[in-house]
Amino acid sequence: MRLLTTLLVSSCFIASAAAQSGSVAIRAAKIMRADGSVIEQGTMVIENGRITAIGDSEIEIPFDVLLNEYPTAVVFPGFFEAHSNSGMDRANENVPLAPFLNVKDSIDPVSFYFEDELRGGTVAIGVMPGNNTVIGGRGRVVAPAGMTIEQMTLSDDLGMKIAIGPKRGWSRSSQLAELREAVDKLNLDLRDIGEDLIYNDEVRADRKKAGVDNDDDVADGDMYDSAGGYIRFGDDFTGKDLISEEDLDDTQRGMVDILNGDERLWVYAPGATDVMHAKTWLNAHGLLENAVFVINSSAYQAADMLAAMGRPVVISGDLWHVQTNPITEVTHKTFAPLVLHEAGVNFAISSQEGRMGPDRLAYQAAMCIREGVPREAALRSVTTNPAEFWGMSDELGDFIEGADGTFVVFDRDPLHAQAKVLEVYIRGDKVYDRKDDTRLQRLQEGTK
Amino acid sequence: MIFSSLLITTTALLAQQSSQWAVDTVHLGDGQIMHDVLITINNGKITAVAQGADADDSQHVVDAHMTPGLIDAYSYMGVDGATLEESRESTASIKLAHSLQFDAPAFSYALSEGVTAAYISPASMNVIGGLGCMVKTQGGQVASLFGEAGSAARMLNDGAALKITLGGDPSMGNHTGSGKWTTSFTARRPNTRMGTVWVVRREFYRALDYVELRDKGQVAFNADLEVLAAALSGDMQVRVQARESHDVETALRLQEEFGWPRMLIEEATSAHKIAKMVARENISIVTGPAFDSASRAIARGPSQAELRYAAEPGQICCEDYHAPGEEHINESGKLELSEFALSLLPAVVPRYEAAPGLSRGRRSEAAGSTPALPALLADAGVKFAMGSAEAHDSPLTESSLIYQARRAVRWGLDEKVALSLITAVPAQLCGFGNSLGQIKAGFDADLVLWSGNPLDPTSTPLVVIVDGQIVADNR
Repeated sequence: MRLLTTLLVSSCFIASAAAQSGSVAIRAAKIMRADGSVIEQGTMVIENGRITAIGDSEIEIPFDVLLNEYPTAVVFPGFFEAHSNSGMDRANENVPLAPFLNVKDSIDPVSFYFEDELRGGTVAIGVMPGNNTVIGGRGRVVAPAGMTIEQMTLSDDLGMKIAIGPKRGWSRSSQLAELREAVDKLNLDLRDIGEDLIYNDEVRADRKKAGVDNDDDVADGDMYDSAGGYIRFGDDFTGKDLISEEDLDDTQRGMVDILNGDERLWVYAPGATDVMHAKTWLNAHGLLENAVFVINSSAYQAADMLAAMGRPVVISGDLWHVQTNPITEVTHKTFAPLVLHEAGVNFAISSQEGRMGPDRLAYQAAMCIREGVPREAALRSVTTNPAEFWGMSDELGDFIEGADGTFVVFDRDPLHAQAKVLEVYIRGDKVYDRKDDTRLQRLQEGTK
Repeated sequence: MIFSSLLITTTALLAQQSSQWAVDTVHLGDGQIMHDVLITINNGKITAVAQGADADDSQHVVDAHMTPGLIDAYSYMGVDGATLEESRESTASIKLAHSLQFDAPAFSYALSEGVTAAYISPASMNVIGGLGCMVKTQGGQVASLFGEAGSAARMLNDGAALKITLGGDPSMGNHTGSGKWTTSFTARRPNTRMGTVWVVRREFYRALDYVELRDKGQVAFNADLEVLAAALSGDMQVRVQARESHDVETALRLQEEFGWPRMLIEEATSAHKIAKMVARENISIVTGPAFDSASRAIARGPSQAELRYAAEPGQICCEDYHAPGEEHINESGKLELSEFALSLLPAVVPRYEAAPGLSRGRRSEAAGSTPALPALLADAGVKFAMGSAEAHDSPLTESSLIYQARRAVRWGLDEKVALSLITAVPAQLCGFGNSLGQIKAGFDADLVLWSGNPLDPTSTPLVVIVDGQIVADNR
């Protein structure tokens, strides 16, 4: 008898211990994928933070994974904020050239911004330095849950911010001049450093020892160029292959990373003019393939140019562009996402600076549908497209086997005006439960 | 002579406007819904609302919803220049109507969102602000911009209500002055909430004296005091802007002191705290927008993240970043924070972000509010209508009046109630309960045809009709 009890107790213990964090199975009335297609009575299994199976009710659930049943709910991948400057104390440093900055040092994990986004069903946010800069620094993809940056981080390799649209108080020409100057100065600095290294005694001794140096061809730049060196852009110059990371300072290293083509570039080009300037600058440095354009609604006028470039586009701020005839005062409103969609641009919506409060992405996607963007494209703009722009298509944005076990439980269609977020799971761990959302309850009941 | 002939032309124009609309779903405005309805319009008025009728000459609209024209019970739209004469703390007889720009873009923005009538209020930067007006957003012939409801006039009432402001706004930017500046404009009083109330009481006691002397014929006409006298007698509605719940209580105390037979509370961003009392006292409220770009406010209290981790202190660690697919190993590398550190956390963590859009108000006056305010007031049985304040000054529609109602529904308000709060109820509270805000025989033919349920964000106004005439058509 005693043995039996022990066995029972220990088996209970084993069962509970086996239900590990990062693993969960769900059965829901509807599992809605990013394209809007629905699996009725769907089942999804997440183990160690990743989706291992998805399908109908026939899917087998491993014995050690807890099953959550949502008989009336809709499970959706959640919303993805392609580009945001929120959640930091201040989004820009006051020097225009700051490629050495990283939002890692600025993100405030307990900022209300993240809490509100989580409450609204956003599961990943691409936090980038602000647009009030020339070269702003590096961003990262975070989940709006966690007490430290490390806990929140989904990817620390989001890319670099470059602003073509002018800094506050600057003109377009000074903005572009600053950018050109930065590249020119880097090139001059690199040549100086190369020269120094050539005539550096230690370097020469090393090279002599290796049998690759003689005094005669010191001045011949071609001798030392190297496609495999640290500097992989621009013309050859004396000592180019001798330059290594340690020879440069932080600003120079950041610039080299950009010009080497190692960084995804988040190019802030708010207006149609800026898109054109951005294209020129990127093409001049062979960097167009690295660019993600961050535009405002007014850049809809460059829709054809954006489509021809075939690069990703993030619409930031208001989706409507309003123009007023200065004489008649008649206003003309253009819904930018529709123009972009019709031009064939692959775009994402960023609710930053939007006016909608915490449920903005859902509302803005719904508004896209109302204004004529097909539902599939509207959903894509807040799910798979941001993930694709981040280079994380395999991990985020949709329910596919092997992707992150991240999902949001809604009480109805996620784009419905009255849709409520019931629970949020990130990589198999529950991070939000409406039942425990005391601040929401306080808002609903009113502070007493 | 000229005027009368113009008026005849107007009437003749209206007489030609006889039309019928057959609509699938009609929201009558008082909370009721009818299906398959034939609405007949004559001379700018609704003459019949009949169920199931089918008229061959009617414009039948499939799948559409019709509501009365929306009525914005609290708005600042279309004012040319400042919305207040700030040079004195009491400017009772000043009429906002004289600052109104009838062709201001705000009216077309409002119209395109289904708003056909609005109460336009003086602003809140002095104590007794003057007279607000009631207008239609479109229509009106040149000769009849001012007139009776239903006469196709734009201006329905140029002295609709007297604005009194309590709370922080009237004393904002004022100071007692120091040294030589005591006589400057910025040195004016009041500087406090109590100073604001003092100004109200001082003015109304002057008005009481004035009434006594006026009735004896012993005093010259005083326009300001005449308005205050009308407020005392009930001829003039008094609209008291009071955001914090204690400001609302102050308004109730002032009403007790001076009578004010027709008092309305404006904004009342924290009125849910005293909703039962407001309901018991039978005081009506016009709320400000449940959300607009100016309304974001700091909500007090620790964030969700703090609460969650305060509940499970063991979960706090500094290196818990793992790639997906790897096993979760939480046990090692965990840095436990002491309880003392945790207790400090809410205090030391800085706050940068605004809370989800709360009700309008300067930060300190909206901190206790909630987007669920309309739902909470309705639950408590308070009679109230909704307004949009500055929202319609912008062509962007995301804080328009119908959006305020949509947001209130999202935060728990019943749909039928929500529609009545922007149609029939504001009409009654603004003194037009017999001509505006409902689809009913005898009422002004101000109608909006929507592409779907108006409280659904995917719906948009297809046709807007004012005084029987189509003024916007997006079909």
